[in-house]
Amino acid sequence: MVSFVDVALSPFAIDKFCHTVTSSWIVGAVFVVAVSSYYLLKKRETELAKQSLKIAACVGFVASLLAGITGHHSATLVGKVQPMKLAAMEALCKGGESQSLTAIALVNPFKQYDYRSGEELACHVSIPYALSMMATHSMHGFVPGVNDLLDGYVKADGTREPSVAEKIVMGKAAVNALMTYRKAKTEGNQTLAQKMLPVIRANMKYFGYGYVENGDQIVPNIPLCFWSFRIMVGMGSFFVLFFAVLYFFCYRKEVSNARWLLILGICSLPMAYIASEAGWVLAEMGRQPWTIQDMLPTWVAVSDVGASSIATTFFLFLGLFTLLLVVEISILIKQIKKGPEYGK
Amino acid sequence: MSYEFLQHYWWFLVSLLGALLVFLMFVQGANTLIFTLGKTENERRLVVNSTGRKWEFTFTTLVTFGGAFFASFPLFYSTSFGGAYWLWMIILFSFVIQAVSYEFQNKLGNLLGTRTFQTFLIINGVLGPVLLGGAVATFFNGSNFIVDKGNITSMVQPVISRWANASHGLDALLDIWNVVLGVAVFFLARVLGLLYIINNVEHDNIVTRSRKQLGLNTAVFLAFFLSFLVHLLLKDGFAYDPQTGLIFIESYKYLHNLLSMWYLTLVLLVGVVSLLYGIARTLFSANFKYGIWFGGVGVVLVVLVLLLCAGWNNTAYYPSNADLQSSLTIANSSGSVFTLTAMSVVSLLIPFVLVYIFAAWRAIDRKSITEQEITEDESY
Repeated sequence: MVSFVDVALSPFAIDKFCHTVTSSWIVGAVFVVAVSSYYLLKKRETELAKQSLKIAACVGFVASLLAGITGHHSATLVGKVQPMKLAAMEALCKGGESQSLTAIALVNPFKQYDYRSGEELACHVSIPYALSMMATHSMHGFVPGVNDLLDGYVKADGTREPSVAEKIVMGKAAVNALMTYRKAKTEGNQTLAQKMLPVIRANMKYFGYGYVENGDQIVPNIPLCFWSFRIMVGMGSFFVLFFAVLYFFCYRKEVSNARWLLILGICSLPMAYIASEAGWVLAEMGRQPWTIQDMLPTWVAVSDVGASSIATTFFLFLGLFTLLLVVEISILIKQIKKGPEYGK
Repeated sequence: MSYEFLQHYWWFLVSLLGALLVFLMFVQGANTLIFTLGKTENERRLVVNSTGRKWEFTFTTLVTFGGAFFASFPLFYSTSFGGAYWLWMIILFSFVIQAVSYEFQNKLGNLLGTRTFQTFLIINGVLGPVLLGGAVATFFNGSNFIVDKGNITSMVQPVISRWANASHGLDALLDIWNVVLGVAVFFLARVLGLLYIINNVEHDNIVTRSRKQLGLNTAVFLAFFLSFLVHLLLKDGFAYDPQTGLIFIESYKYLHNLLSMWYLTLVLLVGVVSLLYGIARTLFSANFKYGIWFGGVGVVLVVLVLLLCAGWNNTAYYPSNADLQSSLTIANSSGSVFTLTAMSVVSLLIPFVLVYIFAAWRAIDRKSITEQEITEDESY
């Protein structure tokens, strides 16, 4: 680390923090809505449920808007810092200027998308200029696709982004120079060590590519990114609308009479969790293979622990946490059915 | 501030956190006695609610201890957590089941029943202190790992630290002296747990049973701890040459450390006396209930000195039995000057955190743990 302030005040970190917090507010608000809707449908705890719905509608609406704003900002930053993630979540093979945002398309969720062929997506519905707008804040901004990032391209400022093959060469030069540097230091050969320093510095930006063998290794799972992005954004958009309608009914109409809205309130509960999880899937799968962008791929960051040990740990976690989840849900259902204890 | 000073400063902070953690494991110790101290369901709830008000202090100190180690001595973190994988995983799982057990045990619809969750608390109460004690003992007895920073440039397997066998940390339990310290920490946690319950719970039967248990647990603790201490003072230690960084075996290294750092010996003695005073007065004075504070201060001082002896005075704090030169010292495993300096600035906030903990503790204890309290108020 060379700058604490850069780490603590990184725009990406602040945005991710705000996006995570505001989307968690949505989950909380939807939970309150679901429980309150259940009470109103059962015609019990009516006053408590109505008041709770009012609060949840306000919090949920504001949180949905804030999550949308921070999400949009996050996408812009992804375009700058993790362009491959942006290309993957759009299944964008060949980029360009004035790019449209895919609203929906049939991408096979079980098979890696053949980005090299660049075949047209089936049932492709898109919003003109929206991707360029989202990534560059300009309707005509240039957004690179997967193949542009693999083969290199000229950026808006006229500079050229190297191809992956070139980055691999620079990365290997950095890794080899570091190896020579360390060896020279151990053997007391200061002259050779000093000679290596400029080579390391010149190629350090692409250090992680030194461990990459081919371009395919740096393309994340496109279908997973594509669908998780759409699930997150789709459900997030639904929540803006849902909370607005709920707010209207809470303050202008008699919400307890809107049976359809209350049923929708209960049905929204799993959607809030699914949207939240989809966001995490996109964040973590879209960044693959980088634990540190361009510096440290996952296969270099691993500990020397065997696959069987990791699998055992995974299934232990899966078993334990599934059991705890079942217990948690059971407790929540019992508590909700029991209802509040007034005056305690 | 020089690099060397920062490394010593951060070893002190890590040691202090480790010492506080051992004290706070009174939670685990008391939990192992749930069924001994509580003969009825309500009595067991009293014990659980008493530790339940404090378990987060232990948990967060454990996390802070790990976090401080990660930031200040990252090579230790990657070597130990990645290498002694199973040892740390078992500790982690035991703390996961502890955390939820408090919340779940008396809730309607918990499916597994109160007794299952209380058993989870006991499992954590045994595994936590024994394994953490055993892990700390490896600071003196060594572990089986190999470190080669040059591996980062290896294209085949760029892994800096490797465990030298397939046990991934469980081999620590094959060294009898690691087990001895693990058992000593376990009984120490029980002693502290008893002192805490005597101080915290207002229930005659529970307090009487606690006083009855205190003598036996103290005797077992002292037997194991003194054996370890004598062994430690007589054994060979792992030293390093600050000029070359070369690590070598030095006879009576830890005894030498205490002699050359005489101020630590003084602190150690004060700690031992304070702990023994806290226990003895609780044992022999029927109305005395402040033993936990004397015991707590004593434990913090003793553990602090032991950990400082492991890392200061040119000592390798994480020795490798597989390859002596792979041993970790505060000089070869620390973060960069910048990282340590930036963290040192942040560490100035520690006194404020301590004051906050003190205030929170007092606020929590404003209401005594009584049968009436746990049936009428918010409780586990």
